Amino acid sequence: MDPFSPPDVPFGDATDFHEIFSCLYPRLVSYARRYGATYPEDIAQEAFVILMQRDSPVEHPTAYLYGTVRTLALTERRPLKNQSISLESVVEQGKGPEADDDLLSQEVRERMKTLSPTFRETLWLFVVEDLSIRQIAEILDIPEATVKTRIHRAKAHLRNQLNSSGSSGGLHVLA
Amino acid sequence: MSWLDPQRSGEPASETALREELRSLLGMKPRNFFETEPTAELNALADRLRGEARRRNHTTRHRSHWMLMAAALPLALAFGGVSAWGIAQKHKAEDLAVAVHRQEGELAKLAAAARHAEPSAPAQPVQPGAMLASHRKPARTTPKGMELVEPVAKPEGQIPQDTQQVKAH
Repeated sequence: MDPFSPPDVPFGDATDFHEIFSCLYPRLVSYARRYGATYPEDIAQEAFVILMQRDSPVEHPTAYLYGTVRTLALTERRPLKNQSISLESVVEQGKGPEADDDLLSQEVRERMKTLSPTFRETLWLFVVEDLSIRQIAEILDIPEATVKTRIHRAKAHLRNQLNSSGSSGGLHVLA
Repeated sequence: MSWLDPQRSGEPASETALREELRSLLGMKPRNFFETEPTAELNALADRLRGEARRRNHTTRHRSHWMLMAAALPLALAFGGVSAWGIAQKHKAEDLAVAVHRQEGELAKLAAAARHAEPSAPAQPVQPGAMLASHRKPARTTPKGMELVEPVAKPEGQIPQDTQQVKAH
């Protein structure tokens, strides 16, 4: 589908939109829940409406939806007088990691937990949500180089962790 | 749905390989996001959201647009007024500058004409002694009492004009 379609029909015809919505909506709800949103469904729906309301098309609609969900979820949880609260603390306080979808095994979740929240967030978007580095940069509003750095550091951390667990009798063999 | 799939939206092969490597490190299985089938509930929700977006497009956006225009109107008028006044002042200043320039030209012409009309006598340096001498009385050339007096005969029948005749009583 052409992402630069007219704003009145940003997802093409009804069939295309239903297909995209059924694919993205559960992911966005899960993503909002990771940020500890009280009403993740509302946030995901609002993100769709905001995207469809736009006059000008966006370059990466998926990234735009994820970014909107992230902003709305943080705004919902963030106290008005304490704007400097960090994303990491919000994620840690929320139901997020425990509310991950069922496709991830307990082992994967445990490994993700060993990462710092900043690296975990980037790695989650890259590996679990299947988003490109460019899209992640747009969602998190950071340069692409920073995204790459975070991903490579997370990778190095996971390697070290697996090496140490392997040398102490672990089961994993590195590729 | 090309924008949903990073592999089909221009993602480099190195990123794809990196993702696979990280998945293997994490022990993740490949995941197919497109396995979710649209249900009737999801379709109805999607249609509702689409209708909501259209409704908002037709209401809030236009109102905010008009409100913005109305708020900007006084500013635009003030700016236009100040600009017009400034342009008028500029024109006035330019006219004055032209008039002053013309007057200066005329004065220069008059000065040049006056310079040509004057006799071309070279100016002599004035001596201080000469200035003092010009203020003194001229020296007497003949001795006192020896002035040349020419006698004039009085006419008899003529009544002098500077006397007045009166009748004797």
